[in-house]
Amino acid sequence: MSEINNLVYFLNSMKKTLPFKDDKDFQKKINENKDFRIKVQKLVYLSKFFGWNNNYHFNFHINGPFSATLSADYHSTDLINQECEAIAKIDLDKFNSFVKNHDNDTLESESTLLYYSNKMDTKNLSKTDSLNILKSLKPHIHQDIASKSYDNIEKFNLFNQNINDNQINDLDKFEKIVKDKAKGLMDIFETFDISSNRLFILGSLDYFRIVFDHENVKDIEKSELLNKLYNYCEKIEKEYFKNYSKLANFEYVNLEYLKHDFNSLEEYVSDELGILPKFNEHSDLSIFF
Amino acid sequence: MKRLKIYENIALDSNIIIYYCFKTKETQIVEFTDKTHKLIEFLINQKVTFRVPKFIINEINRISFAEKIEGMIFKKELTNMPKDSGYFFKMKLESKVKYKFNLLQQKEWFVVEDYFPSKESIDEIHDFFEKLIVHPQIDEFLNKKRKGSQIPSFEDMALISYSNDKHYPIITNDYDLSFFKEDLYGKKLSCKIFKLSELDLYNN
Repeated sequence: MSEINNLVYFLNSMKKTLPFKDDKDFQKKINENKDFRIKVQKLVYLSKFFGWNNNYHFNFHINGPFSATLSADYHSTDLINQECEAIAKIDLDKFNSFVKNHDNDTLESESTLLYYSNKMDTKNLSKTDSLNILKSLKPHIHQDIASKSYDNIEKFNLFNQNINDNQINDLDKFEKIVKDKAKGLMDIFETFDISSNRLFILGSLDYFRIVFDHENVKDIEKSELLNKLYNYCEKIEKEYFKNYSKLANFEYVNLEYLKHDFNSLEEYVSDELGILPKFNEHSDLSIFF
Repeated sequence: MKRLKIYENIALDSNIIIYYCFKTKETQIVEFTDKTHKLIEFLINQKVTFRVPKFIINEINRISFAEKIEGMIFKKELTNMPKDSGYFFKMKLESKVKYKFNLLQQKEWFVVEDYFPSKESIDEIHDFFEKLIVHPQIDEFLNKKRKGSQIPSFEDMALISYSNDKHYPIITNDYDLSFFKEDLYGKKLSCKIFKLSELDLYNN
């Protein structure tokens, strides 16, 4: 049995929460209703805190945690009618109690706070900090919803739970995850006011696309390349989270260490892998395009 | 252009400096980069020194080349653009333009000066623009500059003041400085102002 069989079980368990009637209705909603897809994403992410240690890898997107592999799975045809397997350790009663009557804004608040707390390893986020973080990262979410989300997480003691991403051994899958992580960050930074810092972040993430267009590396080298690109994305994500209070003035955030990292990444792509030449001020840019 | 030969010192507005810096192997600003380079080379040969108050340099840094690049690409003002003008291209173009900007500031014919306009001179210039509201050409001016107010930025007013105090003519391509240039000069609020697009490289 694969993860998709657990997913079918989980989705069937969430029939009333999502809601949907049958496979046909599920597919229709998945294809036509963005809010429905967001809800599926958030529920699967939050289920990790209630015992389902699923293999879906979540990256941070403009609407909160998102998994490209989960998206591929729920777009598969005839999903709900597929064989399913009960998820051994999930506490569905507790989970249902946690998400009861939650709208998408509440699910987005909760999943964002938990993703932030996991990535930044902040076990004891105060309520004030949490509300400030949400206000900066999710300005569209009402403070009352943010406040209730924090209280709910506290009530279920979820801040103290560590959710670690599983090792990804499948290189094709890993490449999709890296591309998705870069895309998620680009979508976020594109909403920022134009500045040199914004252009640096977007330009360095766009570099991935050019590297993937030109690379033909295999096995260990490919794995190493993907790891380096992924880790670079993680650093950008951490800068974004760390500077949550300065996002309106992002042009003044010091990104020197990220610039140094990107420079090393370019050197690795150029000198170690020979995929693209290293750029300098005298380079002819046409070689990259 | 020969009209400018008589000056030993000339002040440059930020847009002229930006046009100059945008000459790279890959691209340049349609119309203005080439003209600016020819003009500056001609004047360097005439032993002209370009004088730029520090606040103009700060303004260029503040506006950021990133913003300029986004605007120019959007308005299709750059030549020879690659099909793929994504963020990586923009980032590297910015890096090249910044490099040129830093090199420019090291040239001996390009002098950056500290200058602080007096409150009186800024008030006088502000007053001049405020009174333009009844000028017969005010609508044409506002249409051309595409902004609601006839009052220029502080940097523009400070550059006018700088030009007047130091007796340096200004080369600009900005309507805020050039549209009423004769009136400003006539009222002794500035030295001569030359609009780049009106300068003929070969005949005058």
